[in-house]
Amino acid sequence: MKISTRQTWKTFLVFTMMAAIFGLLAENKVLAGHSFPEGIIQQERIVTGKVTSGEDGLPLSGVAVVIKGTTTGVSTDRNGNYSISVPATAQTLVFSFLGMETFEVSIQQRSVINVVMQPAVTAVEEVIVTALNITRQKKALGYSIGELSAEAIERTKENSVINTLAGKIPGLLIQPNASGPAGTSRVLLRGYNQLSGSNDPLYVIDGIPFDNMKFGESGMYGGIDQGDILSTINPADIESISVLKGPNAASLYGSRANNGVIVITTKSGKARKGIGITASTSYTADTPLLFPDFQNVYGQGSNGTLDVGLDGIPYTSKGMPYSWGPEMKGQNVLDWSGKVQPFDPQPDNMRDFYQTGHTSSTSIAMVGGNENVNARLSGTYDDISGIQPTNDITRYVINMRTGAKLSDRLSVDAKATFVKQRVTGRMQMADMQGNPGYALTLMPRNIRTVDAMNIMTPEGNENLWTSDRYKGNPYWTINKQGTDETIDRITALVSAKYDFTDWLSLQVRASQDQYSKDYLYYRAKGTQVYPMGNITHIKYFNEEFNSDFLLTANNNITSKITSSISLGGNNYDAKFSYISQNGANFKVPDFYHISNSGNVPGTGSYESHKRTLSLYGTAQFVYNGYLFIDLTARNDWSSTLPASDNSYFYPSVTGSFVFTDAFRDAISPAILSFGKVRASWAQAGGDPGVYQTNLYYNLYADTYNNLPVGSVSSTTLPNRNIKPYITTSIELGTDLRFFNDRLSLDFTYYSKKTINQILTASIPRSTAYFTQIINAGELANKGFEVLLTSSPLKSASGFNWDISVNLAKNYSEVVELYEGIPTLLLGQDRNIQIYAKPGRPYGDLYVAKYLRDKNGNRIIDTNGLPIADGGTSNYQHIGNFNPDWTGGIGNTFSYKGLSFYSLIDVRKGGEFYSVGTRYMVIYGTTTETLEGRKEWYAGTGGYVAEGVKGKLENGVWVSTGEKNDIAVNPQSYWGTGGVGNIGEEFIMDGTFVKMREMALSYDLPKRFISGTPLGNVTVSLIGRNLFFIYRASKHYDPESSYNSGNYGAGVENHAQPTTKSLGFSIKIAL
Amino acid sequence: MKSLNIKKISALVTVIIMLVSCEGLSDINDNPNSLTSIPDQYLFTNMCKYTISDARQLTARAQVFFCGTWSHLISSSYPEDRYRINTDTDDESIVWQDLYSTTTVGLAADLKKKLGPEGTDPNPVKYAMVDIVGSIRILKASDLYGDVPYNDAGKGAEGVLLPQYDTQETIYKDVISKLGTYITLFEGSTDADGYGASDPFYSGSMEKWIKFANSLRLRLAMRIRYADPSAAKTAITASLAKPLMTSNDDNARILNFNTSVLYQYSGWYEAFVNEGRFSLSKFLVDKMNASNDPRLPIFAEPNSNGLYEGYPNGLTSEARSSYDATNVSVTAPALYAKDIPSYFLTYSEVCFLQAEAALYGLGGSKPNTHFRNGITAAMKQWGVSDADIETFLAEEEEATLSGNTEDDFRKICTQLWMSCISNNWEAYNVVRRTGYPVIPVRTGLESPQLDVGLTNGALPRRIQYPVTEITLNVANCEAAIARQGPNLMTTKVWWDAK
Repeated sequence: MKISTRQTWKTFLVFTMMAAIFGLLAENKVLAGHSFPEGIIQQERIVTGKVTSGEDGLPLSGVAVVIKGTTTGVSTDRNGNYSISVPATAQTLVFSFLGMETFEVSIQQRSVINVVMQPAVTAVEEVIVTALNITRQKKALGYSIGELSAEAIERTKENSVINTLAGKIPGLLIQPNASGPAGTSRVLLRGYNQLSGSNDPLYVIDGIPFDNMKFGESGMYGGIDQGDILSTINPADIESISVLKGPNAASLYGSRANNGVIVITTKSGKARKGIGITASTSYTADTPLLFPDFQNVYGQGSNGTLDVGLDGIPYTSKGMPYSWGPEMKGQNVLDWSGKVQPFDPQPDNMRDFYQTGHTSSTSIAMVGGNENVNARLSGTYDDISGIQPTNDITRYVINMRTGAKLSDRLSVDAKATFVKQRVTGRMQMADMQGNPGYALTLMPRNIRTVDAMNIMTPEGNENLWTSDRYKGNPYWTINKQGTDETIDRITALVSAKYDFTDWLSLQVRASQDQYSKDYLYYRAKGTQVYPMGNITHIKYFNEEFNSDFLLTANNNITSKITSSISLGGNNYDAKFSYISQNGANFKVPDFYHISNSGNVPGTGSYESHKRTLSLYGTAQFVYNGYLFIDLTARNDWSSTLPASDNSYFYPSVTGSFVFTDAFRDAISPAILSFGKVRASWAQAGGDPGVYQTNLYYNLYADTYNNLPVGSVSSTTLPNRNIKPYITTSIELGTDLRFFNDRLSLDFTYYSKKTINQILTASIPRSTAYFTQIINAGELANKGFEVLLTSSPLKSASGFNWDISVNLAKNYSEVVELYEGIPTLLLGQDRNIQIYAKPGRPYGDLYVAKYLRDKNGNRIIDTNGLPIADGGTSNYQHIGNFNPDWTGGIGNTFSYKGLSFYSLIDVRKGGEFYSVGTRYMVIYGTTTETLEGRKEWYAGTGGYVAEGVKGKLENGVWVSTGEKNDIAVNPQSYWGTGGVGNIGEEFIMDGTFVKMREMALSYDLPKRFISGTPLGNVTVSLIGRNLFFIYRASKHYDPESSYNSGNYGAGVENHAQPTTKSLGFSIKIAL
Repeated sequence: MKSLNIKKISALVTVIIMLVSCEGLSDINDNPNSLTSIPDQYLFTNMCKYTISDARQLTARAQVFFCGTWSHLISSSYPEDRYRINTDTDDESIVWQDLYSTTTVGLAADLKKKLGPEGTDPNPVKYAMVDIVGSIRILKASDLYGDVPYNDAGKGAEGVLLPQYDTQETIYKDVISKLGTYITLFEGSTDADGYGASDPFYSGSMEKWIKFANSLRLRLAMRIRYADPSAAKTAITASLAKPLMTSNDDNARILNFNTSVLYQYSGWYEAFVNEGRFSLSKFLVDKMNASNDPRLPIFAEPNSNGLYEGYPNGLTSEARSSYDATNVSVTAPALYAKDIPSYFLTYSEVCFLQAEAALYGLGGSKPNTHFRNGITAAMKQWGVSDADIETFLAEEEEATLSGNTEDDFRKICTQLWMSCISNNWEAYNVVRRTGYPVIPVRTGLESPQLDVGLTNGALPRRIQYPVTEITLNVANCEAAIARQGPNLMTTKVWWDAK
């Protein structure tokens, strides 16, 4: 390790110590062996047998046969046969198989044990994938782990893997951006750990971590959500997803696992008779879920009137973007289109813009194999169209996995995945002229779709109905602006495992994950804000290499205590680069290539390189099959830390006690069938991003008057002494199952804190820099999670009802920031700021608030308008974007081959600020702006603001105690001189109850398909995000944020509609 | 199993460790995209360019919204023209952040560290040049906000993260004093000591740097005339005793170019085209019409009647939406073309300052000569023909000082103010310092109605400290407010003392 002399020695020392410990343990094995009575070791013997199904008497292949209390096990072959080497100390064999009741058999002196397994009463999977891809018995775990099966992932055919998790796992919050398919989602496990910096979990596929890079998202001033890499994964290839919620579960994945880990295991081949083929196809139609509540009474204009031309005909001026004009009664008006036409409401002028999108997915998979070799090959083709015309996605995924047992001791596993994904017409978001959500929500209520579709002026420029060029014509946007991107991704993994003996094995793995992305973004010449047009073309390249080893020893310390000890190391190496070109002033219209730039094209390039080396160890001790203790330790050396101090260490301890096993005699399984308590303590560290320890200079690509120029490369100051951050977490919980597993409860309490945060802290601009990388601050989270599952109905006639309810609540606290700087600005938008402040929860919203009397009534000034407390720039705390709690209710009713499933997703509390609503009321397009118009224009009244009359006393407004009765022009009330600049008005309660998923499935009866090669056919009607059962916010879906960053949950900015999906799927197994 | 022992396991693991760590970590974090050191002249050129040629954001906000509309040279639809705050874009923060930008104040601090006596590459002449240019943005910040960070400014990279504010008096007196020292230093140096071709002001001419430094000292000295008359007099006397700018060739300015590269063209182009087009103020156009100013056809296009008309400042939103702007002249490209130069200090201003000094007996003589030299230079700067200049000088009452000190002062200030169009920083300073031209207080009773804004109709005297300083540099900002007065637009800065 060529780090530094000191480091070399340190590393060597640590390694030597670990090796010595390992050696001692191994020695102990030998010594222990010698201390046993002669012949004990030799008493290890072979038990064989056959496993069959109690349902049909056929052999069961792939059944896990494990010696109870250890991780030693084998699986049955295709004939249901197994053979296992059993030490003399072993007392019980455990047989487990998905869908079957787990079966325990006392070995006694038998050498042949045949087993008949019965279908599971509840399909609780007992084996689970944990850190380092180690499969563990669930009851051994000292922490809560969320899990999702292939069936649950595929059920409603969501095209985004991550969005399938929404509402299903307590403690996991999924908030998709309102950016259409293949967009990004916020994924948060147990709240925010990092004040600034990423709170995304680590994703691990088949044991290999991968970088879920986000290529770009919208900010306050707009942008395009370019999606992430996760969206290129094919849900149909997934066998299971495990969610490791905190560092307790994730400490062995290292730095990047600080925010939790989402472990994805893909399907692999199975030993079986013949080739198994499954094919599935699905189609859903996707339509807008929700539009703002538009008013359809008053049209374009101001103060209820329109100017009248010399010919006596009223006309709408292009400078008049508001819907504060006269009532639309079909009167003739000369409008923006140059035509005199009836002034009629156009209630659907926003809806008209959207099309019915669709998501169709077809995949086919072949599996086959025998005891020694198995393989699975799958291919998927997805074709998706968003509701915004031109927003299209095509995706091809080919996945190949093969495993082989080359000898009794050596087995290998290899996987290769190819993905090609093309996305066009990505949505432009927030404050960007190309955001259709901007123009359409503010569009005067009389604008006809047919006129708006006339996108070009006679001069060939973008045709706008207002003089505000920043609200582009959306029909121009989709025809003359766009994105076109292609991702090509290749992932390869090879792994070999060698069993030196039955108690010692070594696994060595290497993987390479690489992708390139070609991204084109263009605006045509004539776009009003960019009259010359422009083009950006970027090629990204990313590669990640992982290699690791894991040496594992299993050991029976005494007859009652067994242990499993592993020592591993990992080398992680990541490179990222891009090359970009940009041009403008097109020579030829509608040709989007850099050669068409009339300007000298600009260029840019960037590359980064990071490496982390790690050594880690784990030790698991099992006492009598019911008490489990796990210890882990890891040391990382990161290239991004200062070379003189680049090492950091973090340990964990967890324990689990299955008291029902320990006191089986005293507890009736009919009442409490399973009971476990668990506890854990863990730390996880994390390193900074690349190149943050030095100040650099950049050369400019441009010159000044032919003189070379340069500058400091960044407005962010480096930190030469940066340290890793550390998250410490404790977790306590219990798993209880009652009434023969008919009811089960999983309860978890956790408390964690992250210190030494790596912050990009805002510093006073008078330093000449905007931000500095610092280590400071502490953010704490604590909360609880409940998962209740039950089978309340299980009738002999075959009618079953399963219900699953989950609930999670998280409390966060910004414990401290850093000296001298009392607040950390997380983000802002028009009239809203989001801050972290010590002593407060993370994610507080600050806006101008109404001046109120002590009874909470708004004080209304003598002009009849509300007053901002301390002025419109005085931002005060009003709410927080985090939900009070989240939950989900899943129900499955099944009767023979028919099943009905639904998932209701609940979010209670948490506020967001709606920029879109603010502008809509200023522009007068929504229903709340109707009140008082008629009266005001008739001179008989107007809008009477709710509140009490105020009076000025010594320059301060105080209440007179009288109810306000001053009628004002509604346009003034809703305008920037009224509530338009008082942010409180636009804070919305994010509470919702959403019908997230529904599926009605039918397995075709066997008699229909007997005689055909079909083995199993399932047809389903499926739906996603179908409707709101309850929604507290007006106009917008609370899931309408424009970025998945740390403040995005708090702001909506002219979001395009979210979608609901309805369709069907067919799955055929041969 | 029996054949396995610690040695074998250790050997195996050691081999694996060596495999994974065959390359080191230490040099991986060397940023391949950037340099760890760079020739200082590359930074100097860039710093000079950015210090004077404001980029789009700063041009739009400082030169149009704030200084432009408040000096009544320009009229715009933005809230500042109505003496209000633009809460949508937080212009106070943007102007502050751009004034203290990394590429100006930051590079100055970086270069001074290297070029100073303790630095890696000591050079007193280059240090002086950097220091002069580096103080320009801080002076501008002080003119707008009052007390601002000066000694601590731009030193983030040196670990000064909470800069203390200096009083405006300290800043002005310190810069005036340093300019005296640097003039002496330059007098004892040759062109070879400077930045040569990398100097975008004077291509290394020491003679011109002396004139520049001395003319700047004259401006600063005159600025503090009402706040500290004796200090002003001393500095004015010193300046008049040394070489001052003598022609437009001596102007301190940065050239911009008609290219497609954003970096190379004037911020005025983007500010005009993309940040909301602006009009010439009716206040200005009325004055220019009254004196048949030959610059008017250069600044604006005639309307359909062949006449020039400006747009009134300060209309309420309602008045503005119903204002008939059909006859308002369109702003001419001379004020926003990509290749218009960015002026900081011109010969004409030096003439007007000399006229003022002479008028008030602070030094020199013949105020009228200086005054008319100033008008000539100012018009030539905009390409007015010699014949038109002569006609103006011969026929217009505004072009000749009459002997009535106060009215003469009004004429000098008005011409100085007019000459500063497109350098509106200075125009706003003139209006505040001298009270000329007189900007009427808005009452809200005008027709069309004017907005009395947040100042009850009075001309704003400064920009409020931005939210970013108030929240991020709390103690220092609060100390400045306690010293200077409430953080309001109506609070006067130190030199605004007439």
